[in-house]
Amino acid sequence: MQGEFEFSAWVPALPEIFLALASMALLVAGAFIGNKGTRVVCYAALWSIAVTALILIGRDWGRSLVPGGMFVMDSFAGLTKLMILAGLFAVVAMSIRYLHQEQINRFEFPVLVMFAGLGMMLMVSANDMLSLYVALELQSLALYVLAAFHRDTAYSAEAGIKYFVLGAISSGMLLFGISLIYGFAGSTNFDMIAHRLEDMEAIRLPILVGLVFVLVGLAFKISAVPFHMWTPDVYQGAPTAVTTLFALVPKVAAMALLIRVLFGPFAAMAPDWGQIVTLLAVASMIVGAFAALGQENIKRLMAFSSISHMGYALIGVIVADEGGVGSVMLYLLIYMVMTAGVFAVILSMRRDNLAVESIGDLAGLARTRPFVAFAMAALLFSMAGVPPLAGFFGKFFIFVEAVDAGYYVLAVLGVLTSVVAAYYYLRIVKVMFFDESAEPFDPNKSLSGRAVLFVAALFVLTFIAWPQPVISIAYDASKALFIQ
Amino acid sequence: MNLTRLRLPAHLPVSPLAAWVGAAISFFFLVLLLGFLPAVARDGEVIRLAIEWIPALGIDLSFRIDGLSLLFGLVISFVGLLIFVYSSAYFRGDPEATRILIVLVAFMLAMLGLVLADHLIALFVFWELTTITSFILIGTRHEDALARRNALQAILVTAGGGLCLMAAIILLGEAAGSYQLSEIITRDLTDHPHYSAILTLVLLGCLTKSALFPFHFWLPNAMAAPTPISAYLHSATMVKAGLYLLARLHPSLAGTDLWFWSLAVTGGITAVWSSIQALKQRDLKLMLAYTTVMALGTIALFLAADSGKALMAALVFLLVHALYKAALFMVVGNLDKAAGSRDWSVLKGLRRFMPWTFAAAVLAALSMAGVPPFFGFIGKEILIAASLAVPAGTFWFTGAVVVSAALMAGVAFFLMTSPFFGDRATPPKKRLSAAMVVPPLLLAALGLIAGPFASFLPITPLLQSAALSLSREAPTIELTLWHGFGPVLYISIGILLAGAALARFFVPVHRVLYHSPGKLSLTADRVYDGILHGLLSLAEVLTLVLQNGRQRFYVMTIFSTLVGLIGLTALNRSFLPPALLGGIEGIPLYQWILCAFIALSVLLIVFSHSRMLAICALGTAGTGIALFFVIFSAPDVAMTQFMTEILVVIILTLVTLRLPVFHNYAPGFGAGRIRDAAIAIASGVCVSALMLSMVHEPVDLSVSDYYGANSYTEAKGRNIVNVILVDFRAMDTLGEIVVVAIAGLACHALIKLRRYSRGQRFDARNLP
Repeated sequence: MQGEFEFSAWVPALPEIFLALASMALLVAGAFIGNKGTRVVCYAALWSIAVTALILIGRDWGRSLVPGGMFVMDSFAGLTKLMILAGLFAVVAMSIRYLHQEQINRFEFPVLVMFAGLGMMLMVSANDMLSLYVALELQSLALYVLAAFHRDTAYSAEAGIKYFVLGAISSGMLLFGISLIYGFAGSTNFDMIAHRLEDMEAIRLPILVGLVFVLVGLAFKISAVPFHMWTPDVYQGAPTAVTTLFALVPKVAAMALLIRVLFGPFAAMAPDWGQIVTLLAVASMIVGAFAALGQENIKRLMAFSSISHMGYALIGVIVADEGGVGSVMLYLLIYMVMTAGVFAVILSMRRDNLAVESIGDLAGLARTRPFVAFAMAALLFSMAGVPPLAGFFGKFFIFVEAVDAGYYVLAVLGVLTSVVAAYYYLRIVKVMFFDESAEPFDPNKSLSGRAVLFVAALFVLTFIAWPQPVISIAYDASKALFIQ
Repeated sequence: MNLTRLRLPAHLPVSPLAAWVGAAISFFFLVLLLGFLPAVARDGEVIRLAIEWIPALGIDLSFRIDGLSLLFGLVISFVGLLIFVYSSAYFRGDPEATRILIVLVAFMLAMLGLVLADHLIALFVFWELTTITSFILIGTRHEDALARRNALQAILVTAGGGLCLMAAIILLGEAAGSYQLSEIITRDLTDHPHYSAILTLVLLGCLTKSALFPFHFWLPNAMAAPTPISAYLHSATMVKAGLYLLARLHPSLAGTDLWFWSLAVTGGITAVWSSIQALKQRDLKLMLAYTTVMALGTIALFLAADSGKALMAALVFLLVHALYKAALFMVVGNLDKAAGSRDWSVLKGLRRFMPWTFAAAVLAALSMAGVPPFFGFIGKEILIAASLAVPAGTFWFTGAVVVSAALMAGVAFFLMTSPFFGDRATPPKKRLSAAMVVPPLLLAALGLIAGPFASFLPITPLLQSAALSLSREAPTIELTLWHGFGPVLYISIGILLAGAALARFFVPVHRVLYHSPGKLSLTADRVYDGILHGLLSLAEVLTLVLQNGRQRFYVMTIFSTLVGLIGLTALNRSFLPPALLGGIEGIPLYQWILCAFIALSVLLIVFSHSRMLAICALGTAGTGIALFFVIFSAPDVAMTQFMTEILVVIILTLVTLRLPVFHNYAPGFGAGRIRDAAIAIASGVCVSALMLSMVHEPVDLSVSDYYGANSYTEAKGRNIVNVILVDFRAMDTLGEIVVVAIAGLACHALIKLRRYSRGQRFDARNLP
């Protein structure tokens, strides 16, 4: 930080700088307008997110650092950030009507979403243990508040406090790990740590322990088993708009961060973290598949579903090469689109102006809302990994990479748990198409919800026709991590 | 049926138009494929078409037309054509007809794609498409809870098998180095290290799809679908997909004992067992379903073998079966539509009212029984001849063929007589249109024509070129009716006689079987239910244990996992904790006292009944640790620690004052407490051991050295800590001060907010 301040050196972080300024401006504006201006703040938030995305797209995605080396911009970060921004945009757009309906029409909602998003964008660009921690906490603090956003209901309050307590424990562990690594590797900078670790003849115990603690902290954020405990409770308890955010964006950001940490500073320790990640992946796939079987609440079911999806994605991480990371990115991309579509449907599940969340409520949807039911069925089949839908390709590339690298057991476990998981997705399809009709839902007036559902369904249905561009984007982005 | 459903208008118009569109599409493909017949069947050409799809990964959408795929493609499009014509009348007036028929068209296209695809991924995509469309078609009659359950069962079994096939395909692609079928079948993979894994997974995929033992149970249950759908999907096409893939992969996977015996046992058991099941049924459609399973088993049995003769037998029987079975399904559909029942004990004397349906039934059943000069006779002869010629397991093969063929003959004779003869004539309710009579009659008549003219029609070269796709050994088999006297003919006659006898005594045999103890038919179905039930119970237990909603348990899990992970990592790298008690004698007494003080405080926290006391004890423990910092000359750290401890105690005390009394808090020595203690102690021991072993590790001192060397020269200060705070990292200190100030302001705002708005806003005491 010595020397003169030069703005041009900070240009790689321009999208984040803009988003930070916009969020703060909106916070102040909201404070003056009050809750009656929530809608305006939401629209302003949408514009800010869109402009941030435009700035991001306009930038060069080659690898560049800001002064001090705490922040790195490369194509991996670029793609992840675009995904994050798209997720934020969809969440805010779909929430406007929901906030109004649930009478939690507070202007803080879009602002908190933006702050969480800012934290996530900084996370995926972190190039230093400290910027990692600060970004992670910025994201987490905003999310703690959001989980308890509907504070007049006990469920939401419980979700918030559970998430906060467990999150605080995991942050503590992460910090402890960081301090161990700093003490024994002599730096918090990712490049420096990588350099030092490569030079060591043997990895020393404190660094290993530090790595374990860091991994535990990050595993909590991607809700990998056994650090997933908060996920079902928070998914169910939080307002659905917030659950949508939880399902869509932080998972992707945390997974990207995990990849950056494992393939950046700890690339030399792949055999060590590989075992831990294997454990997490296997446990996540198994628990995610089995525990979801008996769920009746669709939000809770989606929580377990997201856990198992993270388990599959982790297989790609274990493979530990360019293709593996590429397959994870592709998986995350497809996962995001599918989840967005499913939550668009969940958000529209209202009867007599009350939100309903049970799977039984979807009964006979094929007759009352044939197009919604068709789109939802496509999304669920896709989540189950049935071709020709996009979800199949996500799983397929992960398994191909695993088999390529010789991880046969993992691939077979993945297939077996997919079979179990297919049961609960297909059960929903059965309920929608074949069961006696329940009362029809209130008409869905949310244009954005319908748009998201349409785009998501279109994506999973037509992915097979032009898969090449999406696949290349994902695989190209992963190359950035392996050019040193 | 509930009221909401009645109020809703049908979404789609009632029109058989979709049926004619489907018929046109199938006719188009029939003609298209017939166009390839001369080149493929006569000249043995293999035609390939490819469209670029995912170039970066080398996946393209390629099709391969050889004898095998052409044979399947022709059956699919031809039976499809007749089924669509039949459907135009069958679904007349059905409000859901258009929807069903659109899905049926989609199914047919997927099925054609499946048999023509050359790329394994494309094949798999089409494979699962047939699964999805058949799921929708089976569940069509969703008013019925059983239909819904069966639709779910069919898709769970086939989609589960499909996912196994996905694993098989990945392994196959890796093993053969290509996903192109044209490439794979040129390679012999039987020596590959993953051969048995590949074969197991392929078998799982194919056996589930083709309803072979032990996955046979879903097919009879899937008969909940309307008749045209059963006739098309569950007899002529979809269930043959598994057999198609087995035949397709025959060149690279067959020839081992594993292949031979797994298919021979599966096929044999399926054939015999399902023929017995057929006798137990009263529903004619279910009876046909079981005979279909028998046919699938027989084809699988002959795919086990390696000889050209056996493979030819499998293919001939496949074609024979496609012709008569679809016809019989349509006959049963006609009986159902006209007489309103499918129960053979109710249907009698219909011959006079439905002469054309009767004619179709007789023609198809005679082919099924294998009576000369029908095509079925040739099929049966060649089965017997091939079974006598298999090198190993001749007895098994011949036994399975003879027993199942005799039972089939009995069922066939019964089918063509029982509903049509007899005195108690129940006049049919409706008349059938020509569209429902012509397709079965045409199919059944083809079975008659194909018999004597097998050598003249292009059937023989087509079947031969199909068999050539399976094995490099060219089969030289004449498809003629007369092979001269010999064991084959005697066995064939014996089968017919046994069949006739069985048909004569069908009712008593049926009764004995029906009342036989231990309803074997339900075993596999029960296993399925058991597995599903088991899964759900497992899920319930998992949820209760892992996701019980109690935060304490969550924290417990996190800590025990952490201990486990650290232990695992340390063990893995074989780090041993150093001698724990080394250097213990050098510790002075006052440090021991301080340790005891901290330990006592901790015990107090754990065992105190009062929250306030626990908080204070926490504070004293922290203070004890701060004193250690003082002893080891880190006064600045100690000061920070003191400040934090005091603040924490004050804030927590303030908070507890506002909380209700903690009623449920009951410390004791229950199992829960002991478990918690064990985890806590394990975590403590683990972290302590780690700390002790780290003490021996050299710390990276580059940072300290830097400040040590530079604090005086650069910043002119002797106290390194001070210099860092106010000079080297002055901006950071400023930032910290700002943060603390903002936090203070925020606290102030919160307190003010509470004071002004008490009683008006959210009140925690009103929570449920």
